[in-house]
Amino acid sequence: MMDYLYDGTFEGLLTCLYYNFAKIKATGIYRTDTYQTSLVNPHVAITTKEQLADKMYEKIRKHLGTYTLTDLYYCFLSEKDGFENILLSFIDLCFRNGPVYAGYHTHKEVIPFDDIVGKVKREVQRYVGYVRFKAVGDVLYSEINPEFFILPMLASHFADRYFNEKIIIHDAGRSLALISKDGKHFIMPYTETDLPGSEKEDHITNLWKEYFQHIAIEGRINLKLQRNFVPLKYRKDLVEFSKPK
Amino acid sequence: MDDNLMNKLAILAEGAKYDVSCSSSGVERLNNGKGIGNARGWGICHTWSADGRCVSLLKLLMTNSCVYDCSYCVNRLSNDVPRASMSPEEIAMLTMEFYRRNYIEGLFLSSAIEKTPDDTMEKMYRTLDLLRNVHQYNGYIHIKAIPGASSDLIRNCGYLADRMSVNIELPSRESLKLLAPQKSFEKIMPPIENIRNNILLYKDERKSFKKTPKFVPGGQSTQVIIGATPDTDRSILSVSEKLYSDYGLKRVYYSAYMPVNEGPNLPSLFSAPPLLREHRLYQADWLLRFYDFSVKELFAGNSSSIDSNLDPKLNWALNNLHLFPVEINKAPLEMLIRVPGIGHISASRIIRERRVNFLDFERLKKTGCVFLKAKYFVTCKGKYDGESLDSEFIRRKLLNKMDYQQISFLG
Ligand code: SF4
Repeated sequence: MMDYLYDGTFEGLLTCLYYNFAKIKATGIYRTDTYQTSLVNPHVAITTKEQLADKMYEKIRKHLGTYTLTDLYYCFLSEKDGFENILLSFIDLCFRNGPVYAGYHTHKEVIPFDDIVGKVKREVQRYVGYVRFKAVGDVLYSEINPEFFILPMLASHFADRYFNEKIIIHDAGRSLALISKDGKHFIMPYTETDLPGSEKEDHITNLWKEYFQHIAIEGRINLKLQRNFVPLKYRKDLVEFSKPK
Repeated sequence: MDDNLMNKLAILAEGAKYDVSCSSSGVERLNNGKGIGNARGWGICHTWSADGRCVSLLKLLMTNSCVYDCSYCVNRLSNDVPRASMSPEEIAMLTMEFYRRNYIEGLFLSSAIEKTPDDTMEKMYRTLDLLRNVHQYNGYIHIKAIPGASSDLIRNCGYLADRMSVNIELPSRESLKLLAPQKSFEKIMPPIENIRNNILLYKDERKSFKKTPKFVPGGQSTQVIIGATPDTDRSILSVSEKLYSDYGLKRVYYSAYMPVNEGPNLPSLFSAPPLLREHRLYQADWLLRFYDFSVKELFAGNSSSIDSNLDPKLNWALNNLHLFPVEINKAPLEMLIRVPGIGHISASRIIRERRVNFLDFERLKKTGCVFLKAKYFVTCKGKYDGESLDSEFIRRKLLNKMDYQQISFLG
C-alpha cells in the first residue's frame, strides 16, 4: 500500500493506474509537485511510461467502453484538487464489479466522479458558444478564462468550423492556446505578447453590441434568468457584456 | 456607412424579436474544408438576452416596411414606427462577420412585406444564394416562407435553408379574420404544404439517389400567438397536434402576446403577457412530442384550458389515478415517463440502475427525478411513500409546494 506520485500528465495518470491494477494497490494518486508527504503512507514516484499508459488505455476502452474512457479524460481535465482519487475509486469500482457500475449513478463512489465530469462537460458546452473572436490581422483571436482545462475538448469543433481561418483560443489563466489552421490544431504555451499585429477597434463588435441591446422583449425582462444562463464569472469573456468605452 | 447600418440593425432586430423560435438544432453538417462553418445537431446557445432567452441566431427582418396591417404586429402599415430595409449584401455581410467571431450559430431571416410576397421572397432567396454560393457559408439558416409567394421561389429557398417556417400566428379562421384580415388559412397553408411535400419528396428520392440535394433538413416550424384572441388551450394544441402528425412539423412555438398596439379587437395595452399560460402550453406541447400523449388525454372531459396551477402531466395523472401507483422496479419505460416528476433522463437512469440493483426510495431520489412529486405516484419494492393516493390530497400538498416555484419562474 502506497501513494503514487505522477507528473501531472494524463499518460502519467494512466501509468499509475496500470501499476495499481497490475502490481500494488495505490492508497492514493497525487501530483509530485503538490504532494505533501504523508506520515501514514509511504510513497513512490512513478515515471510516466507511454507503453504502459497505452496498455491501460486499451484495457479501459475494452472493458469499460469509449464512453467511460472519455469521462475519465474529462475528469482529468478538471484539474480539481484530489480528482485523482475520485477517479481511482470510480475505476476501481468498475473493474471490480463490471462496466454496468459506470452507470450506477447513485453509488457513493460514482456520485463525486459524475459530478466532476458533469461540471467539465457543462463548461465545454458553454464555451462552444462563449468563445468570442476578434479579427487581428488575418487571425481570429479569442481570450477565455475557464475554470477547467477545456481547450482539448474545444479543438475539433473549432478546427472544423473555422477550417479555412487561422484561429487562436487563448486560455489566459493557464497561459496556453489552442491554435488551428487548415483543419489542423495543437495546444501550446502562449501569452498575450505572442499576438501578431496590432489590436484595432473592431466595428463589427460594435454592431454586435448594438444588436444585443435590441433583442430583449421589454415585457419579459428577467435578469435573474439571464444570470442563471450566463453566470457573472463568465461575462468578462463575452464582449456583449462589456461596458461601452 | 456604419452609423447607418447600426441604425438599420437596431430597427430590424427590434422588429424581429417577437418571433420566439430560436433553435439551431437538428442539423449536423461538418465543414470538411469548404468555406466557413458547420451545423451541430445539438444546437448551441451563444449568449442570453436580458429577457433570459437563448441567442443562437442573428434574428433579423429584411425590412419592417409593410403593406399589410395585422392588428397584433408592431410593423403594421398603420403604425408610426421608424422603418428600415437591408439589402441581401448587407445581411450576408453581417451574418458572415458575426459568424466568424463566433457570436452566432447562424441566421434567422424574416421579413415584412414591403411590396409583394414574391418581391420579398426573391430578396430572401438572393441573401441565401449569396451566403451559400458566394461566401461558401455552411452555418445554420432559418428563413420564413412568405405566404402568397410563388411555390417555385419557396422551393428554391428550401434547397439552401436548414429550416423554414410559416407563422400561423392565430389558430382559428375567426381569429385571423378579426386580427389579420389580409391573411387566411387559404394563404397560410399552401406554403406549409409545399414545404412538407418537398421534404417528403426529398426523403423519397434519397432512397434511390444518395446525391439528391437536401431540402430543409432541419424541418419546418411555426409560431402561434397566445392570448390576443379567445382561442382556448385545447384548440391551440389541437392545431399543433395536427401540424405534427399531418404536416410533419418539427416545432410549434407559442408566443405570449405582447400588447404593442391599440385596437378594438385586442387586449388592452396594459394587460400583462400571459407568460404562465405560454409556459404551460410548452409543457403540454412537450408531452405531445416526446411523451406520446394526445390532446384528448391532456384535457379530461370537456375541459378546454390547462389548469395553470398544475403542470399538464401532473394534471393528467390526477385525472387518471387508477393507473397509479406504478412500481419503479418493474414499470416499462412508457409508463415511467408518464409519472409526474420523472422525465426521460431519470427514467432511463432508473432502468439502467435497476439492472444492477433494486431501487429503494433513497436511490430513487438520486436519479434526478423530482421525488416530491413522484412519491405520490410510485412504489419502490412495494412500499408507498405518498401517504394517500387521493387526488384532492395530492393537489393540496403540491400546490403549497409549487406556489414558490411559480413566483420564481415569473421572476
Ligand atoms: S404581414 Fe407580417 S410584418 Fe406585415 S403587418 Fe402582418 S405580421 Fe406584421
